[in-house]
Amino acid sequence: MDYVLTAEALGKHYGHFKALDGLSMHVPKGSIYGLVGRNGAGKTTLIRLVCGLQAPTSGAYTLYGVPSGDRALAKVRRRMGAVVETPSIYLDLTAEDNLKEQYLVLGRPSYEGIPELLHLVGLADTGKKKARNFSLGMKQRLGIAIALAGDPDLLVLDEPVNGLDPQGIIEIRELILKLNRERQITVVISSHILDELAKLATHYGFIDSGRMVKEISAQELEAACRKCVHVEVTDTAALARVLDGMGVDYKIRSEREADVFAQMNVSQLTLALAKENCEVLSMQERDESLESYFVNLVGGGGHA
Amino acid sequence: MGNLLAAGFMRLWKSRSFWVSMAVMAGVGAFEAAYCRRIGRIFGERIELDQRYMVFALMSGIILSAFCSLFVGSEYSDGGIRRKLAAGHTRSALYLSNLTLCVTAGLLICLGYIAAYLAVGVPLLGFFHFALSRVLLSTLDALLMTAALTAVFTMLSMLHQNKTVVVVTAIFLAYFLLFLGIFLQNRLSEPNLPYMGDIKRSMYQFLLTLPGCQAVRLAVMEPEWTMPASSGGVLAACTGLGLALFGRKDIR
Amino acid sequence: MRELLAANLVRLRKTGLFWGAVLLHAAFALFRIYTIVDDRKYGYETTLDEALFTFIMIEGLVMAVFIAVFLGTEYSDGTVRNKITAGHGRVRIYLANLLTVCLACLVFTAVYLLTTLAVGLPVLGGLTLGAGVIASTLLGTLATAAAFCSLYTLIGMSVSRKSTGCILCILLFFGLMIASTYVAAMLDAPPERAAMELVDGELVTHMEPNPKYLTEGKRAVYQFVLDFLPTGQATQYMLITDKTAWMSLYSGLIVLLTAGGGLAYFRRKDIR
Repeated sequence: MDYVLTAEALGKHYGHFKALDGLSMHVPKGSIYGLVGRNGAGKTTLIRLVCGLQAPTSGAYTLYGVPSGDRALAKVRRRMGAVVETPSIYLDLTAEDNLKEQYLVLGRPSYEGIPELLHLVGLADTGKKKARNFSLGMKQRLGIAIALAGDPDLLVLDEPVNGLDPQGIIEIRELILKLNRERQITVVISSHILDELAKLATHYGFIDSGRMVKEISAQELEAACRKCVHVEVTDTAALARVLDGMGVDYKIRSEREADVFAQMNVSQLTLALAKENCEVLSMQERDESLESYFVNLVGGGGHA
Repeated sequence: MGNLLAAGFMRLWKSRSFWVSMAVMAGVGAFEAAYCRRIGRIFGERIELDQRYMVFALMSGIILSAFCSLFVGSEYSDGGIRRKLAAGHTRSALYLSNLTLCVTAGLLICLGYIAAYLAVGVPLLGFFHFALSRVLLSTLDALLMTAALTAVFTMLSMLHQNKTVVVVTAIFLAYFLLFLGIFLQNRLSEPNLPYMGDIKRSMYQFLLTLPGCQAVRLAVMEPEWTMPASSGGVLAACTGLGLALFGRKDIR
Repeated sequence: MRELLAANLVRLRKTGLFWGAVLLHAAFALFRIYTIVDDRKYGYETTLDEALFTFIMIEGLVMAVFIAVFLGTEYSDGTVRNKITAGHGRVRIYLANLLTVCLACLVFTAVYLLTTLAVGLPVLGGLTLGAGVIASTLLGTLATAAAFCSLYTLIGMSVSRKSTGCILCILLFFGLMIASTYVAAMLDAPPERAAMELVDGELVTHMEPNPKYLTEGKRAVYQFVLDFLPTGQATQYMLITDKTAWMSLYSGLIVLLTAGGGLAYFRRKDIR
């Protein structure tokens, strides 16, 4: 497996506070890697380390096989674009000027491609408006455009849909998918909006308290997430008896609702329940959400 | 406004710029007293406690320009103003509470100098040589001047959201007033210059009463009624103007 | 580093404060010429040469504000992150910034000099000092300006908060100025002072040694301090001095020390 970014036992502490504690990570090439974790789990710290903003206290990471601390890392960084926490944009410059600045920083020979880039993120009409006067969503999009300025093949996005309206969220999602599919860009996204990640990610890394709790591909996750059928009945006690008799795993949610964790034959169940004078009001197939998988993985409670 | 003040005092207590300002003024106070003694020893002169007592009047403007612009500026940058307005506080309550806080801080900082100066100076140099009434009057005038300058800086900070612009403007203003005072005092006390016209002389004298400029006169304890009157006037004018403009300002 | 410089220079061109400082220097040049014209009305024989180097008096203050704001923006807007993430080394970022602000200072100086000569030559007549003296003094003042720039860059690159950086730079300038004024005053104290005493019921003045007069050893120390401090150098360049070489050396030393210290700190600094 070709890994674009790896981390081995990465540690970072500020005084007595351990932000990262032996974190390991493996981002496959061409994937959309979702970094999942609560607030304060260490996602942003990890991103800061990988971007070179801060040095690890212990452990190391590699970028395209080049280890941290190696002089060759500087060159390899040109292949990476990042948005860390808040978009890094000059508030007194326009969108176009901001991109020109980044082009210069990257040593690009000409300003070719800037109009296309602005169009790609939906900022083609901003004209002479200074970034200071952009909405939060516009600033986010400009931040992403700046990250894309060097034609990177690795994009690291720290909560990219933070503060975006539903339309904006969809647009960014489509953009990320497009970049991944059409340009084979590996994307690392940190987020705590799990539903959004679920629509995007091909791989997941679950972080908690500065450690990587689990790394898993989307396929494996789907297999692990239990399929369940959500039923609404008139008598859950009767349902419980029937299901016990069938040897099926279930969970009663309320007086009339329950989740059944098995592929049920609907006719069989309905008939069995009818014998117990229990009516079936509705049945719905559901996947265990990423949210509940995550909560089960790291345990509920405790926020930064 | 009671809530705003309570919240504000708690923030003041935890404010790093307040304690740094306090430390600087107290440090300078102690240093000045000790230095007086040293100078006296070196040059064989008798230095009195009065000599450097009023140095705080020269420094307070500059220290407070930095403090006010940071303290009030943070209210904007951290969203404190937005929060308080959203919670239902009126514009005038917000303005006056910030003004009260800054003036209180300013007075405390000056008292920090005085306390340190006296604590070190009295044992080393004895008590004041000048009449106590003169010392007290000068002190009160200086405190009132500090309050007036604070009102100016508070007005600047409340009316402009960009902390950096306010900081630079306030510090420059503080230094400008001080240097203007030195310049005016020098010009007025030149014995050999061709006779200065009446108008020019009275204009210079008027300017010298402005807060910041008057510090030069207060430093040698020459209080006059014009100084507290001028300070009071500036305090009232700035507060009035500030309240009026802040009432209309669009907050981001 | 070329890329970083290019990016910085493009941003410089678009910075309002830069153009404001350019205008300020032009205005100050005109003001200085005006003061010479005024001086001449009172019979003083002030020459144009004296106006050539007056810019160094305000340079310390102008650069304090300019550098604190220009470099502080990189932190407050977060754009220093773009440079680091793109792979540029910390040393290069620091040096590119230092070089940029020095270039800005050079532009300001050029504007001042050109305005002074363009308006001053027709109005006040020619220069009286030799070309050699003018050239060496100019280089000396530029060295002093570089020392200021390096001092403020150290603060601007080390302090993440723009407003705090501003305060520190401005206070540093005034602190240096007050220190050098004090030292200069001490050096100016005359060797004798007038003292009065009563002799046969009459007030008689006689000269006695001034205790404030600095003796050999002390004088050397105080003079060194005045030559070392950038603000002290600035005041000495106002009156033609023969210590240009030494003062330039001290300025160079200040640049090395502050740049070295700033680099060492910036390399290790955690960026958010």
